[in-house]
Amino acid sequence: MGGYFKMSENINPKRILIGKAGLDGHDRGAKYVAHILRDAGYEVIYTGIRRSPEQIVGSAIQEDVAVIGLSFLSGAHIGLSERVLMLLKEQEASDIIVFCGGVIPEADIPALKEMGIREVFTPGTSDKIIVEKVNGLFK
Amino acid sequence: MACSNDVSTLAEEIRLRKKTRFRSAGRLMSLAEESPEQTIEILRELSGDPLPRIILGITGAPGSGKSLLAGRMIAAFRECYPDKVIGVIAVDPSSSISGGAILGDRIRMMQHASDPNVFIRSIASRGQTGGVTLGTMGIISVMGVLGCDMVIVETVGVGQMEFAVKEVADMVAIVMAPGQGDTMQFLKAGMMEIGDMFIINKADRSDFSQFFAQLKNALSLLGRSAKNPVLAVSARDNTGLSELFFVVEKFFARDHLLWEISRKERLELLIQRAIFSEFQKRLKNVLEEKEQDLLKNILEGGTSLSFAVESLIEKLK
Ligand SMILES: Nc1nc2c(ncn2[C@@H]2O[C@H](COP(=O)(O)OP(=O)(O)OP(=O)(O)O)[C@@H](O)[C@H]2O)c(=O)[nH]1
Ligand SMILES: [Mg+2]
Repeated sequence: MGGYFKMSENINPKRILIGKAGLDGHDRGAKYVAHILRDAGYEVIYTGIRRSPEQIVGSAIQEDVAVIGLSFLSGAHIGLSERVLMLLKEQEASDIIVFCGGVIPEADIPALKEMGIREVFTPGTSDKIIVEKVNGLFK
Repeated sequence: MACSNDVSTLAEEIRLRKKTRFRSAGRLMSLAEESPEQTIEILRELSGDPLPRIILGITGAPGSGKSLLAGRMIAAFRECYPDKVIGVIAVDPSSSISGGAILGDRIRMMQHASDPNVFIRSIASRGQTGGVTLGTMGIISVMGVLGCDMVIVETVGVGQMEFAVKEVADMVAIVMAPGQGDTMQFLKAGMMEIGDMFIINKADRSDFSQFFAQLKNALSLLGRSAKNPVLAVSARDNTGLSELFFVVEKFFARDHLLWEISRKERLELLIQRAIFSEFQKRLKNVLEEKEQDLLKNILEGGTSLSFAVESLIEKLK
């Protein structure tokens, strides 16, 4: 079929899922990042607080996002990141890129990167850097 | 491993119930959203596959409780029919400034995020008036292959989105709640015309009974409450859900052939809209590229509107 003319493509913003794993508290940081990314033109699927790795990965797959951003506040980032990456692998979805943000000690960053987390944003990271680095993940 | 982008490969993975079928379904939905051409390809590919039995639209003012209610409906449905699959499509407006969007309806349904019998997809309106498009129908048909018996389409009742939901849904439920402020405006804005059913939510609130009485009254003045059920529910306390399902099932208890006919008509309408939207894009390009002076000539020169139209059509060829 094809046809002589090609229909124009719609605008297709890239899709990112932001979720806060772990049992602790509030999601101000995660929401803030969601807003920055929305303003940078991304479609951000926001999943709220206290999400299990299973819920995060399940949602990411249904939503067909290219990137997952995990937000952490207190400590469990290594184990939870590992679990998310493992579940992605199990689902044959390791091409989905994962970054982390939140209260993460400098000392843990190498371990996170080693296991396959592509970027880590600590509370000091500026909006501009976050957007630049996330843009970079899509290249 | 990257996911395929080939429509038939993806569809086959879902039909064969491969482990990766959710990924394939998610990707097919993205393709459906990407362009009307791809949606058509998907609809053709899936034309022999089952469609959901029930496509229920829910719309209403921001904050009236649509997402929480959808979450409760998922839970009730799963409890009642452990073997059946249910889908939700949540549509939110895109930012007109950045083109981005925050899609947060899922927050209220997250307990079902790892249930293989629940598929939830959030979509943004992407500058399309109404938010619901041919692409949404493509997503619904993918949910059909996944085995969804029922699909709920949530849209926010702002702009034109509440009207557009009627183009994909068999039945439209309007959700209203006390404390939303703009209820009377809703009534005025013709919102009532599209509701097959009215769900008055937040029955747990102390100001509910007054609100409910007021609305029942307004609806009966409009002649709506006689034909269209008005239900009191509380998504928070999980009350009124069985009545809700009863009404929905009753509505769908008619000849399946009739649904097929009305779905086909709606699909044709959506295709027509996609064609018109493409026309508009192309006309705009012609106007901007080849006919920059046209508008000026209408205002300042003697060009008539009909001449302008003729010359645009000529240039389109
Ligand atoms: N008291 C009470 N609050 C409710 C009820 N249902 C929803 N809410 C609350 O109302 C707020 C909005 O609920 P949502 O489900 O997000 O509403 P929505 O209509 O989906 O909102 P938008 O998607 O933003 O248009 C939340 O704070 C809910 O907890 C209810 O039955 N009773
Ligand atoms: Mg909602």
